[in-house]
Amino acid sequence: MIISYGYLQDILKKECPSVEELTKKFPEIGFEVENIFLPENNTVFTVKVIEKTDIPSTEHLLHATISDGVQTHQIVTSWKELRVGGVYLWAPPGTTIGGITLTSKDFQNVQSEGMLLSYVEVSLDNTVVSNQERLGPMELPPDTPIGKNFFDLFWLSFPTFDLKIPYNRPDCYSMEGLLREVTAAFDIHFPATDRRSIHHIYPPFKEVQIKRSVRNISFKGLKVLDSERCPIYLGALLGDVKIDASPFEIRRRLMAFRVRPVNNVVDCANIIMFYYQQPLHTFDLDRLMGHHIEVRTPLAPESFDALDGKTYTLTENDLVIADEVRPIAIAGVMGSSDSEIMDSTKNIFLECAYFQPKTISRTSARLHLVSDASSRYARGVDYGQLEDVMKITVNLMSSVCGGTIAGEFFTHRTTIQPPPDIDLSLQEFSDVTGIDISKFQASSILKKLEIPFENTLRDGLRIHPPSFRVDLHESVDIIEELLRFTGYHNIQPSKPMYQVEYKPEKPWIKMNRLIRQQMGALGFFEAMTDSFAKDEEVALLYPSDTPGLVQVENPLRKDQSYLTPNRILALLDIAKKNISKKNTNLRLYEIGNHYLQGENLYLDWLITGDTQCQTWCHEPRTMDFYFAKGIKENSVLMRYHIPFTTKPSENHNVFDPCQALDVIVEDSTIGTYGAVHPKLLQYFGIHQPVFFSCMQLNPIMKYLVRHGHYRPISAAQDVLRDIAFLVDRDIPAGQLVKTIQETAGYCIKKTIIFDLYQGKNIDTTKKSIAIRMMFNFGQNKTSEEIQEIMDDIVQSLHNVYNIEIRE
Amino acid sequence: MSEEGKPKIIEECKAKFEKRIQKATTAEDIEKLRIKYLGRKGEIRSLFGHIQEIPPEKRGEFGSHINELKTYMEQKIQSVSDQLENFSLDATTEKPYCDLTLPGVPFVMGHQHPISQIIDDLLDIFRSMNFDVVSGYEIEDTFHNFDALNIHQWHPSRNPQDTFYVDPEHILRTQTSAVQIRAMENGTLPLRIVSMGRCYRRDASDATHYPVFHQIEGLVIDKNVNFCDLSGILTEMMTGVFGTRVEVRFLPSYFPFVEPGAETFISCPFCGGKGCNVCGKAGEIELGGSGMVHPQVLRNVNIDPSIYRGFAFGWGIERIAMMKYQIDDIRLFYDNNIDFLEQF
Repeated sequence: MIISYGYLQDILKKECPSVEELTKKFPEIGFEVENIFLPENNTVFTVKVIEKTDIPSTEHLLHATISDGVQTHQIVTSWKELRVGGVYLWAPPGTTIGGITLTSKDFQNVQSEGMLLSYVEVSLDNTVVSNQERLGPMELPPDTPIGKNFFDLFWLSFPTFDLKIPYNRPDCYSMEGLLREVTAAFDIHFPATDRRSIHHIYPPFKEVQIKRSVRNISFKGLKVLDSERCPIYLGALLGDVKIDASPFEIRRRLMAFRVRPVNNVVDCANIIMFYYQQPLHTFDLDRLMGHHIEVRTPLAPESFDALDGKTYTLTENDLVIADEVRPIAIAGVMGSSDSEIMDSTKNIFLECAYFQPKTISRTSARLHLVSDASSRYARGVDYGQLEDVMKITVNLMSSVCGGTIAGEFFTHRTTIQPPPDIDLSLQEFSDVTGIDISKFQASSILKKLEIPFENTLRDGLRIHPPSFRVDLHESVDIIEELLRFTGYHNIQPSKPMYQVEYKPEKPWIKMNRLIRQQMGALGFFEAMTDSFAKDEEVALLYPSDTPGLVQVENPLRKDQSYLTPNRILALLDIAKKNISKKNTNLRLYEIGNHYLQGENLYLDWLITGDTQCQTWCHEPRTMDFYFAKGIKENSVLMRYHIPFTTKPSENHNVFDPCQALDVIVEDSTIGTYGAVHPKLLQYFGIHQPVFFSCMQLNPIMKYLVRHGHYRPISAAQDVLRDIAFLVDRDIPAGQLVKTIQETAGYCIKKTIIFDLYQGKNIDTTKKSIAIRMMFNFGQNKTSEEIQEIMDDIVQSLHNVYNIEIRE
Repeated sequence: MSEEGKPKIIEECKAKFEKRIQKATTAEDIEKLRIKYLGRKGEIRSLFGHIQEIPPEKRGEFGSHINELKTYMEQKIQSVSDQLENFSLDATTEKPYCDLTLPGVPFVMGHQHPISQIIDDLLDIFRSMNFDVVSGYEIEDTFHNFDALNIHQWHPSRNPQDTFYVDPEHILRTQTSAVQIRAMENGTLPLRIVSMGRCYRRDASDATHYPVFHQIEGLVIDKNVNFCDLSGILTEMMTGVFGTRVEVRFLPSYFPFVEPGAETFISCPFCGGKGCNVCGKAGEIELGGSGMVHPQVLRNVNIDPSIYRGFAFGWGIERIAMMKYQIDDIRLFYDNNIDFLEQF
């Protein structure tokens, strides 16, 4: 809501608080100052054109005589549309416009003193000028005082507040409502009757006699077919209206509210809305078909051409104003282009109504169509002031839009249940806020806010919520009002008293914490990505008929409608960006949801580049599958003694078919790791191998949060023995190790494959493998006893794999 | 017998030892000396051999003199040996040249994302204040995200322009308050909980908006809590986050789920309220909404508002992190540039 300080001062006169006081006070009473438009000023004056003549020797210039009320001046201008009698903006010589200081100039023996200005040259926003003014000179209403500084005259030399009005305070979407708050906050005596005076919107107002019937109009009346959605509908006929531009006093108020002028009728309706909150609508009566107006639900689906040039389809959930043939307005939202007021309009139907807020907000939301009217109706307008506003409007229009106006009123009214009374106890106030208030304080705040109450309760007040306060439903709403005006600054920190009890760390928090510690220790950087995935990228990994893919109905970008089924997409994207910045050695992880068959929490990580960069004492080593395997198995899985097995993965969309393993815990696959498929890397434009792991966290949570029991440490010495042998190259090393472990039984602590060789000097069908074993037998054994065990191991290996021991 | 009453033989042995130990300059010399005097066939042992020559009544005294000498020698050898060792450790000049300016092995240390660091801090702070931590789903139904929080069906925030819909009844949660509704439905009273997590709003990304953000929500439901208590909890929380005492200030604001509701500010932890670049000279920082839980929200989850009251707050973690680390663009959190991440 825009509030011009100049306008406010014009109303409150000497009592008006300063700009600084208001800037501080508005947020303290709940109105955030979103912006303050700084004042503008320049030596620009209002002048009247007295005479204009073409300059014969030129085609595009004319010579005009202008008057500032005291003297006349001569200017040469190219604006042919200049009207004699019209009021324009004039900058005399010496004024700086757009960085250029004007001087008197000689145009073929005609002296031009300064220049006439367009809206751009006085830095006006193009939303506050008429369409005509946008194309040519800035023409002000003919009754604008001349010889005055334009910026002072139109209150532009004062700051303007842009206030954020809370959603539940539609009464403050109006000058009048905010005046109530300001005068209450600053203790200014300014009763409602003064505040609501029509003279604040049109000082020259003089009451005219309104006739009770309109000649030559065969309008029969009003039918409201849906009283639930339209409880009150007031109509009035205005005949013989003269459509013109608005007078000066209306125009400067429009500019104060930052509203574009249209014509006197529409401008009057707008000014009323901005001052009194109540939206109004005007229809060109002669363009309506038939002899009455209906308020009804659309004959669904009904199409509607609105003022904004768009066509909307209306359903039975909406409400329309219609003539006998077609809708002429979406009730409370927007009128139609074929019933709007035009220059030729003679007779008007004026609407002043109360529509059910729910209906308007539903329609406005569904059609994505928000207007000044709909945003007020949707929050709830003051149904108590409709008659008053109607009367003011008819008076204003009569006064502004011509002399021979007659009016006739039509009323549809159903009873609106007033909100129930609210009993507030002062004890409740201090229970909720933690601070105390006296009955006197409470009463005086409510009085200032014009909230009626009775002092009939022993420990409190009985409040009768007024019709303009749609936000007052129960005692806490009153408590908030009292707190607002006693001051939120009185809320001082205190400590709640409660029984302390042990609250164990939640398993998922502990799991996340342990995993983050582990990944940090392993040199991983934690990434955070959004959860959206590009359709094209998802299609690379999952066919579109994959069950359980989750799509957003209204994505920000049309090509990015999926919730990510696999965070590899985001991690590859991050890898690519970092590699392009020469950060080629990456270890990244993220803990986040995968969206496939619901949401599942995963630990995903990605490594690429060298395990360590080249230094003066180290050769670089490029990450490979076994490095990834080491991270995978040694970190979470083995660290927390999670029993797992692996098998070659069949997820060939993500992984290289030769280098990927599924991890199986308790018979279900909980994740996969391995080399990322070269095709996927190619798609992302990554030209170095990348290894990726994904693992569901919920199935392993129990292993991370349990604690094990101590196993006694053997006092006996550990024994090391090496064995090297030739074996068929196709026999997996894992099987050999397994056989060794099975043969040695409990006493084997560790096995390390410390050499593996295929090639020269060895049969091409064989490989040489060397394994170091660490035993602990629980007691010291002689060399002979150990040799017996070694012999058993060699024998088993020989029996199963036909190995050949190397000396 | 000497003047001190010690046998001459012992005195001579001691004198010789003194002479020799003065000449000892290497560890080797000391070791030889130790063997000569204290070894199995050493001088001390041989002194004991002389005991036969001493009258029986003086043998005890003789023996104790030898033991005294033995102890003296042991200490002397140890002390000279220590001196020599220190001298040789100090004699670095004679060792091969070692360029100490060469860099060490560049171990890669991991870094936790700044957002999750703040989350950890907050978890610590709230556990220390005896709060429970609850979690929920990111795909939430409209009842828990909106209706139960008094956000009626046609409220603008439910508009598909502001909220991501998965289907007409399910959305990507716009706040973690939905978790709290579930906690109130299922939990036993009184309730002191916080929830944290990813939330979504349909904002195009710019320096201050991103479609994904993290939120921390706190909720206390008890018979005897008030607005001042909320102020107390928030003061402790933000003092914990910034590590310096801050003051909390409220301004009235409207949220459908709290009444009275407030916009919450803290005094700028960097300038103490004097005004600096971080707070934009305001001396305070706006953090988000808070207030007393609306009685209708309690009724929505079958809690009797005439018995129980509550307070709640919900703030963006990114905003807290941006203030704490003085980051001016929210998108940096989601770019995951290593040069950014390694700063935390």
